[in-house]
Amino acid sequence: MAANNRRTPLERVEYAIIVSTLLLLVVVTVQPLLNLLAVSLSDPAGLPGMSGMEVLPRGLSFDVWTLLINHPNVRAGLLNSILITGLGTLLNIIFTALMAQGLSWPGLPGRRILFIMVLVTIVFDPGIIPDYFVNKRLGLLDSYWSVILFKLVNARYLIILIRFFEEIPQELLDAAELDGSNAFQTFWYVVLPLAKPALATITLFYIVFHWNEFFRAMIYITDQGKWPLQVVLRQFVIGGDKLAIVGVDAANNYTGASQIDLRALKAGMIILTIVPIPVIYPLILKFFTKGTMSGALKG
Amino acid sequence: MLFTSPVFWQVLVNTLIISGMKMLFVFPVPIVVALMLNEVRSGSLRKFIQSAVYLPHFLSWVVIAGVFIVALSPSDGVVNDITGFFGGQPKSYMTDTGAIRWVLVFSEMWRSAGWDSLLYLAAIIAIDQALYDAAEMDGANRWQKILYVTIPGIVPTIATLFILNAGMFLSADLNRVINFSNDVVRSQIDIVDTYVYRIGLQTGEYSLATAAGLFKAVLGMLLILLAHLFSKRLTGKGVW
Repeated sequence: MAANNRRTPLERVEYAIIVSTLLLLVVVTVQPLLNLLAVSLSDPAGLPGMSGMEVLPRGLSFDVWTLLINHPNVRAGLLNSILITGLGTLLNIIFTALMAQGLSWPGLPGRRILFIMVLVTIVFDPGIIPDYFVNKRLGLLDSYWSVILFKLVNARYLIILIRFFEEIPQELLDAAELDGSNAFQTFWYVVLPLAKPALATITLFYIVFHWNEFFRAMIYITDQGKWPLQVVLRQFVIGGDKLAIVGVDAANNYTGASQIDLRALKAGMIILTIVPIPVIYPLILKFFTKGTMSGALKG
Repeated sequence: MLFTSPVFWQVLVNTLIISGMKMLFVFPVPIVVALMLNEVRSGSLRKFIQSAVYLPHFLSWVVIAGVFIVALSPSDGVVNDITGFFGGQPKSYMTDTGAIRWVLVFSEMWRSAGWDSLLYLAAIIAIDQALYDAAEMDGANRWQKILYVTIPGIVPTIATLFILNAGMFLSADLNRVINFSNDVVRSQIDIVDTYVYRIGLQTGEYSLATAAGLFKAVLGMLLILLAHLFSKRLTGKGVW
């Protein structure tokens, strides 16, 4: 393809078709999200008759967002999600890194067996019922820990990290040892700094995993005050339980949230739940797809 | 008891139909997307397209279901606005027993067609450039290069992903179905996983639910083995 200066008209047409198909794909992907954003930001007066095709708000109003941010259920959901994601990811990284360090040491006794046991967790899924009983017996029901501790070490990310640790030249580790550093110091001052790109990648993936988790929170956490945002969103949008957000009193007296268009409220709630993803998305692209994307540039 | 339950056979059939539709209509899409992306010459254009189409992979099924409920709404959803523009009658896809399985298939496509293409794209990039140069020397055009160089080059990747998909054949994704389900269409998209969840955690018939779960796991293992043998015979590549 490189230096193809003698392209025939047919090839130009083909190229145009390929690019337009891909651009159509982009529109199909992004348009529904932009529409939701636009609906949530529109002036209430502009909402009736606003088409699902529109991607720009009609007028500008932050009523929906003010209400959502100040809503007790949404606010609790937001805080719970942040707690679960923050603490969960921190523990994920600590345990994944420590385990990767151990498993990447060639002299580890029983290394092969341990490796196979790790791989087994990728292939076999215990199923919902055994999982439920484990959580029940451990007394984790209705606790944040039932969500936080799940997949504390994700085998896929563990393997990524092990491969990365194995690439670190043995000479560096030997040199550190000669300088009198113990195993932990070598890990902290030599291995971890070198593994920064890999650590960043798996951190981002753990963040996305925790933020998007809803099923376990839904079945294990019965106290609504501990629900993460995803479950609040599910109850409101999927379950169609508008009272969850609007509130019984407000609905009866036609005050507060009941005055806001339900459609705009739903749109705002969906976008609010998405917000962290676009924030960290550029980082994901930077770290994870760097190789693929830059490698794609053929000379 | 499990095998005499008519509901169980119904959910098994549903699972097979939904997974079959996924295999047929979703599985090939990322391959095509990757082949098309590989043809895009401008690096910044390709990056722009990639950034957009990878995004839905990072959204939860609750969010995706929410997006689809809004987009498919009969009153102001984008899909009905478009069909309405061409004179179609508004249709409530989410509560249409004939359409809901297609909604599931399309939601899967929307979520993963972009991201899954990344694996194929990586495989395409790994193909030796000299093969393309040689093909060009022999006067191969774009399609001949795709057909005789690119596709044979990514067959191992296709085979691996096919086998992994076959292993998931009986899963059909609980998280997705649970969010797209509602009382009207439940009979159409009730799958083994939602059945296990319902009779196990909601009704409390633990032993029956565990049996169904185990049945699914064993069958899934057999499917992986079958797909592995099938792929080995066909392409000479298996997973191990």
